[in-house]
Amino acid sequence: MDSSTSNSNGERGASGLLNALQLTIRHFGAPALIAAAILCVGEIAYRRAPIHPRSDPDEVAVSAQIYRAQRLPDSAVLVIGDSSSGANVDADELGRLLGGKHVECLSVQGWVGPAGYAHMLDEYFAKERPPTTVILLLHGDPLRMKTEEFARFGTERRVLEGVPRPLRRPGAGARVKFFEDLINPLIDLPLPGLLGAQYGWPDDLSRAIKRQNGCLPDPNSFEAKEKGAYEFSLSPAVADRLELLRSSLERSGAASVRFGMSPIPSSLAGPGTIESRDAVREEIRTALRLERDALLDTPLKLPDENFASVTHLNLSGRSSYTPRLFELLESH
Amino acid sequence: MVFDSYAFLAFFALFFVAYHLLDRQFRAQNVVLLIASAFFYGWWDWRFLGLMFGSSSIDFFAARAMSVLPDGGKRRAILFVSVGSNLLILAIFKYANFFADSLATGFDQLGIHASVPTLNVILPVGISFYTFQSISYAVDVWRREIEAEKRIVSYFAFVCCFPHLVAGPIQRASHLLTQINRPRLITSGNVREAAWLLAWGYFLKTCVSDSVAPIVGMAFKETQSSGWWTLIGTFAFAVQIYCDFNAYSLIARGLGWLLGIEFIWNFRQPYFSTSIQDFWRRWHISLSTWLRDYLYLPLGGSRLGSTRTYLNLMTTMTLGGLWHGASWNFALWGFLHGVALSINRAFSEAQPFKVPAPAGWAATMLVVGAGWLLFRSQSWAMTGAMFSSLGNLEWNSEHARAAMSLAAVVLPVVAVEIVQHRRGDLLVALRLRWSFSFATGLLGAIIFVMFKRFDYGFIYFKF
Repeated sequence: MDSSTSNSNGERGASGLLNALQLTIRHFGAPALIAAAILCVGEIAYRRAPIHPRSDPDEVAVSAQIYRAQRLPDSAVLVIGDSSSGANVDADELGRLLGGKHVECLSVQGWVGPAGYAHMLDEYFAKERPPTTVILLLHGDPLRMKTEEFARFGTERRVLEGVPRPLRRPGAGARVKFFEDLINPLIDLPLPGLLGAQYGWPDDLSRAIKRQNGCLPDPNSFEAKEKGAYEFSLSPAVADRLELLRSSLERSGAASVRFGMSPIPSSLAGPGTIESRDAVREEIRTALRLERDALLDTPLKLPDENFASVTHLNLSGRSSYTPRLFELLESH
Repeated sequence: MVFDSYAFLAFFALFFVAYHLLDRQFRAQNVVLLIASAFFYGWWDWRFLGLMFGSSSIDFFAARAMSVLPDGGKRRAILFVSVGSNLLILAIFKYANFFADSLATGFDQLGIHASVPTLNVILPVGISFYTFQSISYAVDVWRREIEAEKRIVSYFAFVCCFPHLVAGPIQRASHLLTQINRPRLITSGNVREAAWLLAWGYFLKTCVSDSVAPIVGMAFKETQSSGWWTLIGTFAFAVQIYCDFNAYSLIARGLGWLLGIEFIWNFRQPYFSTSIQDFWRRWHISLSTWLRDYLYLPLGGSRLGSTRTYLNLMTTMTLGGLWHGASWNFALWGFLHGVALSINRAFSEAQPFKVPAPAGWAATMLVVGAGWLLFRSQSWAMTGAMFSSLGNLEWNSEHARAAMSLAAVVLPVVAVEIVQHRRGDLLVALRLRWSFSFATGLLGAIIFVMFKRFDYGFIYFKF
């Protein structure tokens, strides 16, 4: 063993610190430099040729939905919107309740935004389609997104232009490059977290999305961290993008358009929540130039135990929400 | 705060500087260690700090009182208060609702519909670890094996020392408190060991344990009907829990060396065990020795005849199982190991024939594997379904895919462990010369790529 030591009874604290740092640098320095060099190679390789993170669940879901939008058979009912529409609705069950109609869902992540929802609609209606009822379901969370967030997440650009999302953290490119090109092909890892436990591998997730007509139950469970603070608001960035969705809806020639807001967990609802929800809903309705009777009077809140996250219902929540949505559609 | 988080890395860097700035004064270092440990623990929920310091205070003052009293009833009564308060805290926070629910279920089975009150409490992180550490301290003082600590800051620093606070290893006062009470050295050799332990520990956690976790999740289902999924899932869980817990222990030991503190080895390649007794000498060593010294031996150990020895083994292991969590599957897991240890003991005493090492290994792994299935099952329905599924051993492509993934993740660990085992040296990597930096650097790069990709907590935090 090396005799070089840092002694707590040494002469000065600063020299003790220097000694400790010296020893740490001596033994951690070379490995850290080697690791940094390896990661630099990966980062440069990624920057030269950015790739889609194929094993990322969000990427899998977006890719699967874009692919489906271009190839789906004709549907009587098309559900679009943020991920809450995909997690909260059971398309098969809704179709069965609607008397055997074919229901498809083209929901994408909320941070894709209204331009992305419009894009999905455009892709679907690029072919000649018979009369279709379009159901637009939006959650309060993505409606708050700011312009810089759209740029930072890059998911909107990913959907609209097909380019990989920007990676801003140092080394993020190396992480994607090495994982996608070296580690995953070698080890073939399932999806991370509960999604992996529930659905298995990325291609299994794609298949699950396809099998469930674009819907996907969220396997997580919700735990309330704060209570009674939820306030709906519509950011200028989202409001601006609603124009794209409006024109897309108009172009689509949909037989009818219905619009509702997705529920939030009860514990988050407080005084003023419903008023803010109604105000935002009205703003969106006006921006999309929808008739007042296009509004679906969806519940503001549902019990916490029905949720997988703030934005998504869980499987049991979905089972009770789908018939409720059907009743609202029928009551029209 | 967890070891595999960016917050912890920043926290440790700051703490490291503050700690070594006080190089001259180990008592001042203890204060810094205590404050940092409180911050580390309070990161989860600051309210738990009161519980930890409250229970530690009882043990500290009880030990002080025991140190000045002569042997006799009063001293014994103080020990009873100290140990009792720790057990009471565990009973309230960990076991009350479990026993209430079990009682209600029992009544239901008898057709009596009774409403049994439950407590609205959450389980404080690491409670099982620090209460056991405190109990051992009080008992050691009572046995006069160690002196009672005079300085409360030193005692709190011993109990709360953050590298091992929430998931062990469970440290004895004779080992850790003595280090807290003297100037601490960091040597070049120890820092080199720390570099390896941290690299290997983080690799085991972020790249191995967390990678196999989804396979475990896919296999352990109440609707499981495939025997191959049960076998693959059980094997995956054996890998997951070992790599997860061993990783924590290695990281704790590595961090300890950077502070000049030595933590004990908690694992010594348990899956190389050739008997169940051997397994418990290698698996969660700090718990198994704790159970031996503070439960099995006080119950009589092997001094009161064969029958009593077997009973003691089964009682100790069943309670050891319950230590892991308030659930019958843990008790059953412990009981299984108790039965296996008893059989092992009876067989060793009778010695009807010599068991070849491979056969001993296979039998041991069978028991360990069956135990992990019980341990991981979250309900009786799941346990039943998974054991029943073993009747259906139809192989399909999904099994092949899971098995291949598992094999690819596990192979590097197996390779390293074989080398360690053959050389009889857990630190064989330190014997490498120029390639040591390359090996740890490569591990560092892989850890960076995999870090937080699979966001699973440490399994033993739940206990």
